[in-house]
Amino acid sequence: MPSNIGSTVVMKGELIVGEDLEIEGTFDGTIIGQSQDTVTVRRIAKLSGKVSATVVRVEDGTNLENTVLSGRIRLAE
Amino acid sequence: MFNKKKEEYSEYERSEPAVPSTPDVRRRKTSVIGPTLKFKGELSANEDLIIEGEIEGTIAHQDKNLTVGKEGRVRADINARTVEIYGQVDGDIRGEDIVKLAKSADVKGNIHCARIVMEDGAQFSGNIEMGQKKKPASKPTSLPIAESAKQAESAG
Repeated sequence: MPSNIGSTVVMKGELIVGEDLEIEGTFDGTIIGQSQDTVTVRRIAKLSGKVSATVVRVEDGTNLENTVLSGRIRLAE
Repeated sequence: MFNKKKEEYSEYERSEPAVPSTPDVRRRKTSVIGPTLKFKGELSANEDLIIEGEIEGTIAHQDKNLTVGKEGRVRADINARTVEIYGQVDGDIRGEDIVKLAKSADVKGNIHCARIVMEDGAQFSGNIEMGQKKKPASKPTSLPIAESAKQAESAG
């Protein structure tokens, strides 16, 4: 069951996830993926902080200023 | 008469699976915090939100619907237009329109709302304060009595 953080959602803090996660909103803080799932960062997302997951899928054109990604990074069209 | 109460809860309970899949979520502009997700911090949103995971901190939800699913565990104050609780909430709930507690709900905190629906079996510990939401002042659509009487006289 995927989690979805929509475009109007603003989150500030620490997030731990054990399932697929899709981010379209604003996130400031740390995202930790705990299993073999994928964190997808959509183009419209505004990230600041650290994303650590097995697979981090980033859409082409995403602004990743002030963001540290770790894991298998995949750039998507 | 008895069926009416069930209809109040039907929207969340009818959906199979309990949380809509991603395409549906996009179409309906609903965010989903899944059951394995744990978040500690500040959360605000201006779209419908379904919480099946664990949230601790503050939830500032504006003018939209918030559902805490059966798996949801929230330790935060909740502020939304419509609040539906199927899981656990430890905090104050403010529903601008209506607050619904399903039979599986376990709420510890105060509730402030215009209307409340509490299903038999719901666990609740706290105070309930009910008040009508303030309507914005609108201009009167009808003419003052004296003026309308004059118009009626002249008309006929």
